[in-house]
Amino acid sequence: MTRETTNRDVQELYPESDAATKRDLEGLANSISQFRATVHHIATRSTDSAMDWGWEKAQVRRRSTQRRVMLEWAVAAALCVAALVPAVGFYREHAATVRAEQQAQLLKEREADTALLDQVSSELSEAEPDSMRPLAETDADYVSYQTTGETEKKNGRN
Amino acid sequence: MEQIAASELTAPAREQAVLDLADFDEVVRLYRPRVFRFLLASLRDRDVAENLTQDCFLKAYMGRQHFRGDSSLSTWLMKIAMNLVRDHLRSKRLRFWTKTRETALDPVDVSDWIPDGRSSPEAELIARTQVAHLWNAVNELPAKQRNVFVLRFVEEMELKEIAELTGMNPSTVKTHLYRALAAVRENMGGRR
Repeated sequence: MTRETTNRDVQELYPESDAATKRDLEGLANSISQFRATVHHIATRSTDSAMDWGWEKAQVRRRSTQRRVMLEWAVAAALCVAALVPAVGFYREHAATVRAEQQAQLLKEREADTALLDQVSSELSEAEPDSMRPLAETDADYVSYQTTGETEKKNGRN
Repeated sequence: MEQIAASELTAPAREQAVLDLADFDEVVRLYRPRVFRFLLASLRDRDVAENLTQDCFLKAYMGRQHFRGDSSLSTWLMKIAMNLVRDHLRSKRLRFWTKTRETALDPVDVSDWIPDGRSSPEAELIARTQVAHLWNAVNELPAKQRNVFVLRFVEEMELKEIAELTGMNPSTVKTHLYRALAAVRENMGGRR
């Protein structure tokens, strides 16, 4: 591709351009031609200088790349494990604390239940109740009965 | 020589034969400059371009049994080169902590490689500046536009060939080329 063909190629992409744009595009085409010549020049020098195309080198690099990729994955896995171990430890510790708290709470509840049951059984097994207690209980029962009765009547009407 | 050899090797059967181990050195000899030019223009790093050129031919050699002759040998090799560029740029992005290699070509140095034949020192200076600017502008293009630009203006491939190589429609290739040219033009101080 010569400078002229590059210019024609560039101009083709801007079909409706004025004179100033055409001059501008000519300059661009010229730069592209020089760019192409430079790249070709470097390539000719570089590929001429090394006759061996580097089969051995390419294979060595391929192997080293594979090793590097494996090493990177190994390092990434090790980092993940290193990050996970403390996290798992913390989680297990936290779970143990929660479990201990739950057990303590359960124990407390059991103790409270036992105390209540003891109280009930001691009250039931009293041989002789307190002199004022039946009256107080009856009074409370009477108030409760009255309230319940009124509610039932209302419900019956409805 | 390369052009002649490439045109002679159009028949898929012949190309398959060329890919045999005995002829692979010849394949390398014929297509190495083209692959290297594409890699150099795309990556602006001579060492990386050389390494990837070697990798390209190694891959071609290792996978030669997969070459069915659907496309030309040149297209197949350029596809491998294009994939290598893509992989290289992707891994470079992932390895953002690594330093830029010292072998990366500075556009100012690149302009020193302009072939002789300028009429005057002024013309030479202008040419150097233009090449340096253009190289920078090409480097800033998005990957697809840069590929199309390099394949068209450095490798002098037809739009149809570029379409086959990149897997795009010819009209899409033309659009990318137009946009690339507009971006380069704007970057170099011209109008869009």
